[in-house]
Amino acid sequence: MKHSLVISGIVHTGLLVFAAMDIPWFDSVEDAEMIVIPVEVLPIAEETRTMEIAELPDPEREKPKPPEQRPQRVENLPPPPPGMQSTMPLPTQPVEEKPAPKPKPPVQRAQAPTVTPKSKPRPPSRLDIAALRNLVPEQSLEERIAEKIGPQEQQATSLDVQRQTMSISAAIRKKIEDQCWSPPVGADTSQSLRVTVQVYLAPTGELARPPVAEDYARMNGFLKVAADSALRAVRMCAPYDDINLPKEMYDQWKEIKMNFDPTQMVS
Amino acid sequence: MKMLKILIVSLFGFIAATSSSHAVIEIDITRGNVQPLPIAIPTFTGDENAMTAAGSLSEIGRQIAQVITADLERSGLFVSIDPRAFINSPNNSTVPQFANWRAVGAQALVTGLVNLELDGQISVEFRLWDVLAGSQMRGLKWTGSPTIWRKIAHKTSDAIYKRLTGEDGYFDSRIVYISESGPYLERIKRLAIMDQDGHNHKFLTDGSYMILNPRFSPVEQEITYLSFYNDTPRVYLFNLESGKFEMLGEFEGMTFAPRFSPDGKKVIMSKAERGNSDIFVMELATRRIERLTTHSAIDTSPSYSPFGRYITFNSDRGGSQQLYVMNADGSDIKRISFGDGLYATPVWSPRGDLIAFTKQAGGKFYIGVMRPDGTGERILTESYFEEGPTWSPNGRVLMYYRKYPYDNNGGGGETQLWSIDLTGYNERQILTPLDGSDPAWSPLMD
Repeated sequence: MKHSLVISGIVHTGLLVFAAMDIPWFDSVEDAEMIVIPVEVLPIAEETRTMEIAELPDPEREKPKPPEQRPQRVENLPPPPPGMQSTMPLPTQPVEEKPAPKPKPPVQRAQAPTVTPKSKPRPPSRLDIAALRNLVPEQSLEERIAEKIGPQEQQATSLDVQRQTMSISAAIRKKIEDQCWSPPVGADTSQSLRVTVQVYLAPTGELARPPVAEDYARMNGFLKVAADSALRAVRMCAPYDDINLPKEMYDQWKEIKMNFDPTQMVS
Repeated sequence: MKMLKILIVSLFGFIAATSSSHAVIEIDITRGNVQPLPIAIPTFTGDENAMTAAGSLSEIGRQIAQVITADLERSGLFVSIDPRAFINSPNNSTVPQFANWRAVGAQALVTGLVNLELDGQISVEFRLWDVLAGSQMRGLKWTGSPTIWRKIAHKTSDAIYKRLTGEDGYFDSRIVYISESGPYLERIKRLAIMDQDGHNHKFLTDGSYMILNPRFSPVEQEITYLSFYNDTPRVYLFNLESGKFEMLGEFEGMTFAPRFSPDGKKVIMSKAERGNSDIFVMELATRRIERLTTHSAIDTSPSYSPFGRYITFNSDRGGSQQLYVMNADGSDIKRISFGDGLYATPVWSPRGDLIAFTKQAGGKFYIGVMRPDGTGERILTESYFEEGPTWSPNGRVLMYYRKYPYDNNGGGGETQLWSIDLTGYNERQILTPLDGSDPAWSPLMD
């Protein structure tokens, strides 16, 4: 009797704790669903837009006006199939380099500054590279200390891990806020414009796969524009190899959740 | 029993272990640098040997790209990449080589194609690309007469603007304004109309009588204005499509400051009798007129809220000229402006969130905005003299006119049209053939 009471007590407490905890595999189930749903919804959204657009200026409008006054027909253009070539052979564009994980980004960086000044007046660059660099020594110091402590302590107490992840977060946040994110201005602030983006990093600091904005397929209007600006920022800032991302903690930073909220910026 | 304990302990151990290895870094990003979006707009491709009434297809393609570039740049939200930096020119029927566009700093790319159809019309298609993601954001095709290529270009700008800002564009719209010429005492004032970028300029009246206060209908290509035809100030309606003028009734006294209701079915205006002016509304179908205010002070410049439920106007009933808001039936009048100086010409934004006004204080004039409850007053621009704000159809831009002081030699006194973004940046002059004042922005065209 007593035993069964104890067992019952333990099992019930266990269940309660079990339910109250943030159980990881529940998350992953949700994640899996999230990924599936957008894929199904996307084509529907495209079609809806097609209809909406197709309705715009109709050729046979009742007006007694000469028809040339208005464009007569509008149709939505689907993206061209990759590699689609018109009648002319186009040697340069046969295949799109969609999976472009090539080390192109360094090339961009080298060229972009030389090209931009040629273009129209652009506000003075606010890229604060110097400030960013300041962060790097700070972190490499940490790394050096970690090296000195030796492999045993490197197992790292949870406090150390926490401290390191905090400094990684701070550095990434600083890079994105200072250099890459241009929040959507003038948007309607009556709705929330907070967007969560999942970022997947490779061990090299490059994007392992494209960033994903949660619920993107269901977004429209200002929220979709806010999500686009967030995704652009994540891509613009890649690769993240200028931030000290400790290799031994790859598991900690290979997946990063970024919450972009322009509310303080838009008004 | 022991087994059970071990089982439970190991279960907890497992949960703890998996949750720590799943820890995901979470970062809140709340700041950024607002910068215009770098966009590349190469010439739309077209056959240079295919001729139309508006030139060859390649010439039309080149001009369309120029108009789109000018539209988007004027909004202040985009910066176009100099075409001389382009590495290759794209073809609208294949996916662009994004690396080449990333290399020149473009974040968005517009490609387009102009074709000649069998019936002599042209088709213009464009695709908007997200350069960083390497994907198409928008693709549309228009068909029309070659002579309306400029309109097609503005429509394309509107579609790009909408996809990239979330807001309707305002590029396929027009401005009516008062064109002014001649010396101070014999100023000739003509009604004129042009596209929002100043092209397709036309005079609508010959200047033999004075015209003031033109206002666009929010739903039709129709304007209302005040004309001194036969030396009597009266409110008129002018249909731009049919070219027909008509006077809005014959009243005792003078009518002025007309403005349409949001549904275009009513005109609200001031009517002065024996030195006192009040606000009246006229139903256009029946020409029935209804008085909304009764006060010994001067009530004028009425403007409806976007759904027609409220009216803002200015009045000196409190001792000085200030802004007021009332219900559309004239009830519940509330003062909303309490700052220093005088407030006039309130105009409700088509978005409904703001009221634009002219303010006069300390010997200067200002254009500003405030919320309909009077809070959040913000001054956008100031000068020696400026007034008459009008909203772009999307409520993002204000146009107004500015007047320069006369000098001692009888010169000066020019009037010019200017526009400014709601953020208070990106102030630009709109060039007109002669002097310009009192602009009114049309709704987006069909």
